[in-house]
Amino acid sequence: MRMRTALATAVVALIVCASAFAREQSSELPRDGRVTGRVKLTLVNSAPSSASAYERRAVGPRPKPQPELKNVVIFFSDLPAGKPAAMPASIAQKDEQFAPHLVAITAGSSVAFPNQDPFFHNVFSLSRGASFNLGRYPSGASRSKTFTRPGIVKVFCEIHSHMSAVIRVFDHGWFSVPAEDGTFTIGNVPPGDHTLVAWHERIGERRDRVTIRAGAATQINFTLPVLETRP
Amino acid sequence: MMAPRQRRLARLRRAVGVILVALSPQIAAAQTSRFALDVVAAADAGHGSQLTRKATGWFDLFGAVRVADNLNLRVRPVVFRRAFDGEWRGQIYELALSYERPGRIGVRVDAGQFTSPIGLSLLENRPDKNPVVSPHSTLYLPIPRYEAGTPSTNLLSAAYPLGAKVMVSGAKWDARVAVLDSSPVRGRNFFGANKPPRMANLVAGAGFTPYIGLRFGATVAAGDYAAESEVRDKSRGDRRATLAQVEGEWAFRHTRIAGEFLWTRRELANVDSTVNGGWIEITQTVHPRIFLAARYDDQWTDWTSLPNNAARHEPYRRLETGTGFRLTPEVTLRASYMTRKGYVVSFWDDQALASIVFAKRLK
Repeated sequence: MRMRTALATAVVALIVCASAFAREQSSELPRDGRVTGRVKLTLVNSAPSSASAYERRAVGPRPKPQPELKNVVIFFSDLPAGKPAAMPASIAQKDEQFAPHLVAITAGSSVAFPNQDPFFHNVFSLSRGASFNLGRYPSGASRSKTFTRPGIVKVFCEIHSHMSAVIRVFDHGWFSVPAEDGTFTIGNVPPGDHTLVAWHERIGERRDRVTIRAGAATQINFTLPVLETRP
Repeated sequence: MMAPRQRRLARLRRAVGVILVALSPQIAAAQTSRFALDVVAAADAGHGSQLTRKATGWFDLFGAVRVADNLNLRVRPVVFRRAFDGEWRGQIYELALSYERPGRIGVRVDAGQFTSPIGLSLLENRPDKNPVVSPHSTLYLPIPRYEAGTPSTNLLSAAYPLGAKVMVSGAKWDARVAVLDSSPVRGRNFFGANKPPRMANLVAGAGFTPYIGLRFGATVAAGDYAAESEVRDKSRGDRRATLAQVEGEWAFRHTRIAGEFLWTRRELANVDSTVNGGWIEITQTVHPRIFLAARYDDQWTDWTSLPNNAARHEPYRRLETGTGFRLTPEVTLRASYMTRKGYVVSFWDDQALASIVFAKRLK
């Protein structure tokens, strides 16, 4: 009986010591940090009007304004490239506009382009990152394109000159498109000093140095357009 | 180190930025722009076996301003150099107020100088919309004048009429009526001295879209095309012209086929002349940057020549095949081969043509 009690006590003591050691060890492991913040747009930057030189022989829909903050992408520009997991995305053609106007994806991801308008659309790009033409296709149909090269891909509809979209393709996963209130979070960022970029297709970009600490959140806010001028 | 001028510019830009930020509210949602602006510039040159064709130029600006909800002021000035004589001309293609109400049954009302409610060819009367180098002969080829002292006419005028137009459309149909101040077979140069007298013409048209990508349409028009005061033989009073037109368009994947046909009749001093014709066109995208296109134009005119009342028939034929290369989304290079037989000539003229087109949506 005494033997059993001593053995049990020893096992409990071993477990307590082991867990304390493990806690100590884990607190010493380098942990990734995250960056959070808010983007603020201060310049009126409106979506294009759908008026064009040659109207169709039918009255078209009126494009609905999209949240402008969703056209900003926040990303780290100096983190090493990797092979991030694919993340499927979709850009609908609805009310004579691409919605959303901007998507940010990892290289190797596919973007679907469903046509939700009761007339033809076309999707094409001549960008260096991806040159393609998906042809004309009717309402309810969808075509996809896989983007393998990082960069900026500008997408157009050859039937409606006012329609355009932007796809930002990254070779890493450290990017984010803000929520409609401008807030954003990028997690699992390696600790250290890095350059964080807030980019908008028409307004421009702002770069800031941020220090990421392991296990901590770094707060940074962006205001676009950029007020500073770089030499 | 920045130069003093650069420093001043940098300070100025910073100050402008600060003022803009200070004055502007935070923008969470986009607004639709009050303005639309696009520009097209094009030039082409050719070499012919029989006829010399002058190099042409085309500068085309389209702008729209939303003056109230659903109401736009549209303007489109164009300057171009003509192929047959090299003369530069200016034209206001659009200067109109346009009210548009989208919905299950959409309504659009145009008043002023607007896009003609007739035909498909006018919808390609811009170098970036035209898949081949030459513009439509339907719009620009003068019809032979059978009677001295009568104005020049076309199968269909490229000029944009002054008037009012109402259009309604649903998912599978569209219809329009218009009152114009000049005949659709006779052009009116906005800046020219020899403007035709104002003569009311009525136009009615409709289209049917059985499924997305396929559309058929038809239009009729009637009214005076020449006033008694401007023709030499005044025995018949004002001269009347009537027009009937059908059009079709079929598009699928990377292919588009379109065409139209027109029947027109013009009153002459003693008898009427008929001018009929049309075109068919196919465009095929073979690569994101490359497309192929071909258009066949055919028109003919019949009339009775005086004094012996001999029946006359004159045809015009043209075939143009070409290719385009999209250097960038804005710049397209095109090359084509065209063969044609003009009115009142017996020979065929072969032309090699090349063009460059710049088209950019600025706003």
